[in-house]
Amino acid sequence: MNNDSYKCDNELEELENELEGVFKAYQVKKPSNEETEFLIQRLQSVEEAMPDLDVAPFVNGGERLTLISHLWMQAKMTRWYMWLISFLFITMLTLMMKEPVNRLTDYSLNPLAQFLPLLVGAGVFYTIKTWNKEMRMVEMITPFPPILLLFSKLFVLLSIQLMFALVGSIYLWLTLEHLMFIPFILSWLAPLFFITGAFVVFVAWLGTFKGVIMGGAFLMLLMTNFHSLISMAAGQSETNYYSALLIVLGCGVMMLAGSYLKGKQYDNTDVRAYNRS
Amino acid sequence: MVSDDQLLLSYKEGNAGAFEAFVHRYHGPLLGFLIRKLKDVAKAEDMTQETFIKLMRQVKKGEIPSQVKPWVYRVALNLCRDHWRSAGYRSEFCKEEMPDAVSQDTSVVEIYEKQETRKHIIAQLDYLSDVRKNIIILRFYQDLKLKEIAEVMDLPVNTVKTHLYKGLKELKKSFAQEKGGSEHEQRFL
Repeated sequence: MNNDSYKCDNELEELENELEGVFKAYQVKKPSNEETEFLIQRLQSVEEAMPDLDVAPFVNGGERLTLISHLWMQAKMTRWYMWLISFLFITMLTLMMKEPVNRLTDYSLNPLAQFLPLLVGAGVFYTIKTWNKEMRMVEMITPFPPILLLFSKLFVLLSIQLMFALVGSIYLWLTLEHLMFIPFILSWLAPLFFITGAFVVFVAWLGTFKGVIMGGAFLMLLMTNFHSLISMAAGQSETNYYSALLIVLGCGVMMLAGSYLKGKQYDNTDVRAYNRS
Repeated sequence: MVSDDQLLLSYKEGNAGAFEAFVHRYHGPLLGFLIRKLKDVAKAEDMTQETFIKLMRQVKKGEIPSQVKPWVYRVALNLCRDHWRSAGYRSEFCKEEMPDAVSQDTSVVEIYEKQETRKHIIAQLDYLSDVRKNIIILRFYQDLKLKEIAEVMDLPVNTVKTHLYKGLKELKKSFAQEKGGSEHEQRFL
């Protein structure tokens, strides 16, 4: 067989594209979910009959994939445009802040603190969108509960935003006069964690659909009232300002941790029930 | 999404759920491949099961294939070859060989263009050599990369490209002739 039978890869590609539509006419039977489940049952009975096989049932499988390995996998799978959108949005928010801030409570009025939670909302919708029926079908029987898979996707998005926002803050701290680094970081970090935590809690306890609606409503409430609430709580006191933001941040972290622990409780059967919600 | 390798590794370590996930992932594609090869749904289902059993055995022996997807299709292809070599197939083949391609009395009833195209594709694919037919099915219906097809077929990538190119050229020519023929028929009807 010589390699000169076709001139180049482009010609082959053109030919493939040309005939792709024609080949679509030849479709064959696709197995239903019930047929696949039935096949799995038959395979299980074959497996039981094999003396050399000794596979433990899923629930006893102690060697689950770790959270870290899942996070790493999800980070690799995050689409390039999510990185780009996060980068552009946070750069825009960073560059919007040119005026020095005089009052400590006004730190929560900066664009990063006000609009960064919007990016969390967009991230949640992106995550839910990619969590389609087919993905759920496969993921619901993977060694990792799908609810944690969803959280790991959200956590990756949160990390991306955290990284870019941190770089933006350092840039502002170096270029703007009188900008206090810690209050500034706290001003956007607290709402970012709080709103992500709230989304995760709603999704974990109410299911995907209701959770996203409730989380979205909560996001709107927070965005419109966050500054007034912090100002009210802090008054003129620097200590109160730090305390208020640290409490918000702590609540966010606790909600994330609580949801993670709740997600870990799901075994395979619960996961199937959860997926139907 | 968890990769094939990770699922099989997890299965090897005792997680039966990982193999279930693998079956969910490959049942449809593998069954489709075998139906196109065997044109017999019941046989294709049996062989799909047989392929998964071979994979289970392989993994439990501690040997996870380095290229899982090509390995699975290679096993399925070998099962088809064994089936064709078997005496049982030869007797069935004499009875059931290509009913669609030779049947004259049903063609009048089947006026739907899609069905005609489908039948034509099946007939033309059968007309190709076995290697070219396999390569085209793996490429267009199983969505395998050329490198993966080379693994399945145990051929160099350039040879796969050449076969694919020649096979597609042949099909294009036959489709063009068919189109021309049917237009000609319509003009004189």
